[in-house]
Amino acid sequence: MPTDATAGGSAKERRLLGEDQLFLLLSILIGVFAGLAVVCFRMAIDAARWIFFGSGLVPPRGRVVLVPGAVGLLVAFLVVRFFPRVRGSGVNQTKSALYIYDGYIPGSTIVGKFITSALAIGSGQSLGPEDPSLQIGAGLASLVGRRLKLSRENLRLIAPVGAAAGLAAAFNTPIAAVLFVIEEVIGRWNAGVLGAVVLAAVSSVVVERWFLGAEPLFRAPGYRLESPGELAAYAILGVVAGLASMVFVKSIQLLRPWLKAWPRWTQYLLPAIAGVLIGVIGRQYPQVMGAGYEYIDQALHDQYTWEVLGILAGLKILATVLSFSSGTPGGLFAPTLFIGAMVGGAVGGVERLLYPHFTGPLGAYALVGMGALFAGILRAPMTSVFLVLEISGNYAIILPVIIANALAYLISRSLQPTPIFDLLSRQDGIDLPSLEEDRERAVLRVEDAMHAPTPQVALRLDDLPPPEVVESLPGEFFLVQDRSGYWGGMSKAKLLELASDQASGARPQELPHLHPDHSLDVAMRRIGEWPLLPVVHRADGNKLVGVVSLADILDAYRNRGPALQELAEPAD
Amino acid sequence: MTKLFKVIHRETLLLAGLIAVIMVFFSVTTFAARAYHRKQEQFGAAWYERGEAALRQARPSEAVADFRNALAYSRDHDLYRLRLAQALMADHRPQEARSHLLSLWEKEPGDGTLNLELARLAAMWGDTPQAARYYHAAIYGVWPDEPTVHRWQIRFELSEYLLRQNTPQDPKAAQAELVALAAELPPQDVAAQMHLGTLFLQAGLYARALTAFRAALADQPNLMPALEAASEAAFRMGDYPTARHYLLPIVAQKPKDEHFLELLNLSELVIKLDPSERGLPSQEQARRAAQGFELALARAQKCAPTSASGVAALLEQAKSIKPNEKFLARNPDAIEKTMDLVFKLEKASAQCGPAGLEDKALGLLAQQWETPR
Repeated sequence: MPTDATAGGSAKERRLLGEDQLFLLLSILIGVFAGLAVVCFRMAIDAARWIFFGSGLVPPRGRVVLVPGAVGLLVAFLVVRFFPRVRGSGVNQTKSALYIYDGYIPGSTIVGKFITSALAIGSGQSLGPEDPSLQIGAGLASLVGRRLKLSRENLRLIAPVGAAAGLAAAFNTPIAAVLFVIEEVIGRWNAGVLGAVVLAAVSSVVVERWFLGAEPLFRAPGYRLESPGELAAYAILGVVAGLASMVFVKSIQLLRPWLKAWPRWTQYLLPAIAGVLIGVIGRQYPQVMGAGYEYIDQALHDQYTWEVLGILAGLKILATVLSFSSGTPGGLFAPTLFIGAMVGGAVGGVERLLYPHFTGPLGAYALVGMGALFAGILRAPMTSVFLVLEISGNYAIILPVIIANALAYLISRSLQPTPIFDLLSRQDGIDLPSLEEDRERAVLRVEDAMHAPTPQVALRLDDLPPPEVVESLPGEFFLVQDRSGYWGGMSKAKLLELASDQASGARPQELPHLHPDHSLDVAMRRIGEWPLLPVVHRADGNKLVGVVSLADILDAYRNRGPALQELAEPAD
Repeated sequence: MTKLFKVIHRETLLLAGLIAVIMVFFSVTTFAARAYHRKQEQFGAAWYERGEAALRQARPSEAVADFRNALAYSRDHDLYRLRLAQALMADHRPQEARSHLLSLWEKEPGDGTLNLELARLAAMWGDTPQAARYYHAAIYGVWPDEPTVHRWQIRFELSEYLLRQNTPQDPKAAQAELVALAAELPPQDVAAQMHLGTLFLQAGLYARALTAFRAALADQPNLMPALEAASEAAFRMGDYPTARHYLLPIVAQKPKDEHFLELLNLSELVIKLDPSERGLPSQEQARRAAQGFELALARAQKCAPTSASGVAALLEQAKSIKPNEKFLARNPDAIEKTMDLVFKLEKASAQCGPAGLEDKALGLLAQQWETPR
């Protein structure tokens, strides 16, 4: 966590707390604040659902089409006229705040996101409350940070801290929230940020549990891996989940820009049209409406046949693509989990038909499917594993989850190289850093730039060549090993003096050392004005394994540059 | 004071303000959350009541939907989940019910009701070992009210289930359950003793069945079903004097009941023909053996022309021995050999058509002789 850049030097002098301490204290307060906001948000969604559809899980047939359509009009009006920044899930908006707007998220966005998302989800739009919770948390953090006049650097970081708090409270999963924010929003680990994010996530979850109970989001059935052979079944699930992820992301990739290209006035109608279409689906399959937590719970408890699960997975993909592409505010996390649960259950059902000796309950497949789709669609593999563990409270499921998630992630990545959040930001004309691409970008190391030490550049003090040989050596600076074995540097003039025995007490100059596995970034920082640096063995500092110069480093960057660029996909 | 104000910096004030805002927000959220939870409880209770009503009216499908709604408002309400599982079972959706029951079971693995429902599911699917495990867990599980009665009932249910399983190991398993049950049941509970005795009869433990029926009769000596069952048990275990003891009042009350009349006649014939009856003088033993021989010989002679060579060979053997009453009285050791021959003749003659009452009695006597005493 940076501390040097403050809003003003005088302000720093007047503080009781240093900025580091203030940041950590604020993290706790923001966590509590975000937790309260998310609790209210969840209650608001439920209240909206009760008002619109009554208390039953299945909406009354008379309202199932009418309500999403009518509320869609209202939401569109609010979004277009008053809260244009609340469209979409909220993850990219939080990343934008971090990378573009110096942590600035307007207060109106918090209010707008709260109202419009609660209305949209409560009226049956196929979206979830987690990503909006993330954005609400980030917005609150940004607001607090601005009021307290945090430094620009800390103001940038405070938004992701709030985001973690919002997400943790929404899912009741502190570890997964921390991982997601580190993995997808901030993209880097350091002790200060991690501490703040953890504090915020934990405090928000404490608040959420205080008000809504400590039980995990889903009550998953007990699971025990009876035979290692069953892991193959979960591997198949991973493959199917990867394909389903690709279908989902491609559908949004195609539909969203197409709808965005429609005339501006159609933005008032698109959420309503999406709502009506979802209502039509909901007449037969009300499960696809809203966040669908109750139905995920039912899938986890073997309440559907595999045929129904398959249909629900397909319809949920359709409904979510419609809702999301129409610009309706709401998140992708819950639909992703819903689709995953249904795909998992369906695959498990088919496998059970084909191989009756597989004893795993269908609910276990649904649970693994949730993680696999999360890994495939949202492309946060670490988060997906911990999310499943946290929302189910079942550690025994970890092996199937890891296998299925890894496969889904790999297949999704190979079929759809651009992650969905990067895709969305590029569709919106914003070039946010792709953290997945950053992660995968090959780090250039010293070993990629160094060359072997030759007698022309590396000499030993007790075995110096005659002056005429030294005179003939190319270059003006040499690496020289003294009698203790230490490698230092020496200019040609000094070396000539030494060789002609005119400076017997001369010692080589001390040089920064490098190791082959150091990144070239480290080499760049250390080389300074030195013409050459020694690269020594980590286990034996006297053993010279290479020599590197500034030109070598630049050559390495030049030679590997095009290959790095290939990783980035052009914007859609 | 001035110093104090110097210490109170702008950030401190802002932090205090933030904390104050959070406290206000907390209070508002507390108020809203209370109203929210109250509403949730109301909705849950209302849907639960609807589900109960639907179950009472034998509409399990509607009950399932109602209990699901109730559960949506209170996911951790174990009663809602249990009733949902029971409604699903009533709606013939055991797979769905099982998942809910397992969820509950993970929380309360010692709960009697849950184990009983899971046992019934396993029994329905023919998974006998699993069913037995759950039944036992239910027997030794926690029952909030009348645990002893629940335990008897479940052991009865388990025994009946095991008896229905037509596999070689099950009779022993069922017998073990019944023996355990017999030790727990109060002897004065007539209905329970009758139930137990009936199951002992099915399990082939006639002596224990008789004990159970006797316990019932001790309380109600003229209880006709108990008399009938006791007579059956005594007859099947080969205790013909006891069988006759119970059959006499039955036949007196039901003189036209052919089944019990035949049992009585058979019992009396067996008693009359049994030379091994305790305390019998040797002369009487000889007389009974000789009578048995004459009866078997007569049947075999009728049978010989139409039967295979086995009967003829036995007839030749019988004619060569010709044991009469005097001979047998003089040679008591020959009585046993004679009775062996009698039983062989009866067995060989069985192929020639239905046996008469005396022949049936000899057959029963043969079984009694073959049984180690």
